[in-house]
Amino acid sequence: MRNRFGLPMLGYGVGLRTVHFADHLERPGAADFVEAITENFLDTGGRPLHVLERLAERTPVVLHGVSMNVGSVDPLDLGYLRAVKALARRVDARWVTDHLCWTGVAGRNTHDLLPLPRNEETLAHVAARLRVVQDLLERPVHLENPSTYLELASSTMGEAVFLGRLADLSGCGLLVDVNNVFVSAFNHGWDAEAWIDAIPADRVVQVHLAGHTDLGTHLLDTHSDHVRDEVWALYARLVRRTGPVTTLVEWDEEIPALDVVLAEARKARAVAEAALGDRDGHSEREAA
Amino acid sequence: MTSAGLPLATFQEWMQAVIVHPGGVDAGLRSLSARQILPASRLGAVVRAHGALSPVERLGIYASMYPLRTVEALRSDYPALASLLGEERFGALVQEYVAAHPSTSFTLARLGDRLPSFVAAWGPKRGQGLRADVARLERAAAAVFDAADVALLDAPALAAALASEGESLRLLAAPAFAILAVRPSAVAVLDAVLDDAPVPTSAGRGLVYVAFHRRDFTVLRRALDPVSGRLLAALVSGFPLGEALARAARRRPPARVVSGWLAEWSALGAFARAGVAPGPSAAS
Repeated sequence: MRNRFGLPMLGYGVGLRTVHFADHLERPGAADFVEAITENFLDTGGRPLHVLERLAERTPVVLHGVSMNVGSVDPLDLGYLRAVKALARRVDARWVTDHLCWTGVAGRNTHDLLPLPRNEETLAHVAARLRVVQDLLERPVHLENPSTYLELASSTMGEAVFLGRLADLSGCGLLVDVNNVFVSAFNHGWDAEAWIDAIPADRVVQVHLAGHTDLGTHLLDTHSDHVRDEVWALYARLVRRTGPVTTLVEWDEEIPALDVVLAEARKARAVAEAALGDRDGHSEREAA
Repeated sequence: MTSAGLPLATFQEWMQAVIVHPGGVDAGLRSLSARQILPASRLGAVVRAHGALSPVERLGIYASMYPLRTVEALRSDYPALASLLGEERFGALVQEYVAAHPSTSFTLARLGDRLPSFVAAWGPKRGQGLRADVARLERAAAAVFDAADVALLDAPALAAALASEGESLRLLAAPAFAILAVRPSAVAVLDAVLDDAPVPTSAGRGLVYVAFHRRDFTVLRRALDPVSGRLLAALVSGFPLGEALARAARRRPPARVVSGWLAEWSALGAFARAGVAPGPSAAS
């Protein structure tokens, strides 16, 4: 299945991190694509932007934001959105993503991906704002499920259902962070496989994979390690529903050499191909 | 309040008040701004209990991330100041600073913009000047790193402008250039952090001029003697050359020396090519 937006499968990429700038410049094309944290390139005319522009000449770039604040009751930051639009044009970003969350109110930014109650009020609020954002950016925006550490009593629907309805109402696509599905499922007692099965597959434009930290009482989304086996299994389950899907490995703490992250991206390719081989082989056997 | 929780706007106001409280989650829950919305005893009506963690502990995860994130961001921007103060005092500084100047930008890179002026009045009077100078140096370096890349005034163009304008010449500072006067020991602190050497703590006497410039997107530092430093600082503040020279020294340096300095500074990338230089800034 291809996503309904007709957006291409970019392959298996890695998050662009400062410590890897020189490696990326020396080895353009080492990753199928790179994902840049939007905010790190909005307010600089220095080396970060220079590196991203050079990379964009050879490698597809997608932009991933953390400050759209789409779930907040504060007014949308139009200056920020205009800057995102300009950057997306400048580096020919294939698409723009952010998170289903709020980051602050009353003009403040906590720089955290804070949880939202999943109910009709929030759904209408976020969908309306997303429509404005997409009009301003003149392109669909794709929202990611964040890792969460608390559940609100006022939530009336599951996260996958909420995201699906939000996509229908706003026209947005989805970035499924499979590690976040696993982390939130553990933290709240959700069924992670049911989450994967409930997400509308044709809305999924991109997938994130990362490692997390097990603190015993809860899991923390630290992006500090290899992808766990359970997350690989969920990824395979998702890919069997979506078909080949643009997949990115994130690593943000204790960042290893680029080759280690690239190896994780190659593993994602192998897992996806094996999952699709299983699915197609199964379908062929059924047809026979 | 609805039976199952708070309206979205009220919930967000409450949760932010709790998690950014400098005293931690318990103090945040007891704070007036949070209590006015939700008594701590009613927390269970808003946050679901599940598994090993209580609702307070779940809120505490977000509350604990906030100081960690702000300290990490400011330590990244001010590593020398952090070394000078030590881990504990730097953490205390950040907590007070962020309470006074919370982030209002989409990027954490702007969080520390007002730290140099804040630290100038923070903590014991002894050492305030040194701490402020270290912070100013680090802020200037960061600003030069992130500044826009613009066309620069090269030496031939500068010489032509000098020949044409004489002492009326005004120069426009390049965005990726900064010069400031600081205590010598502030520079020593920066060097010590770069060299992983013990950090000096005495303020020292007098002032030295330090310029930050950028080459191939790398920030470089250059020390200047007092006369040339004062002259360059006056020029990039917008004073015309004649007035800048008068501010720099009682006895004017020879014209060929000044020409040499100007050529050297243009090679550093001190001056932008385009635009009309504004008049002197209020800070000059």
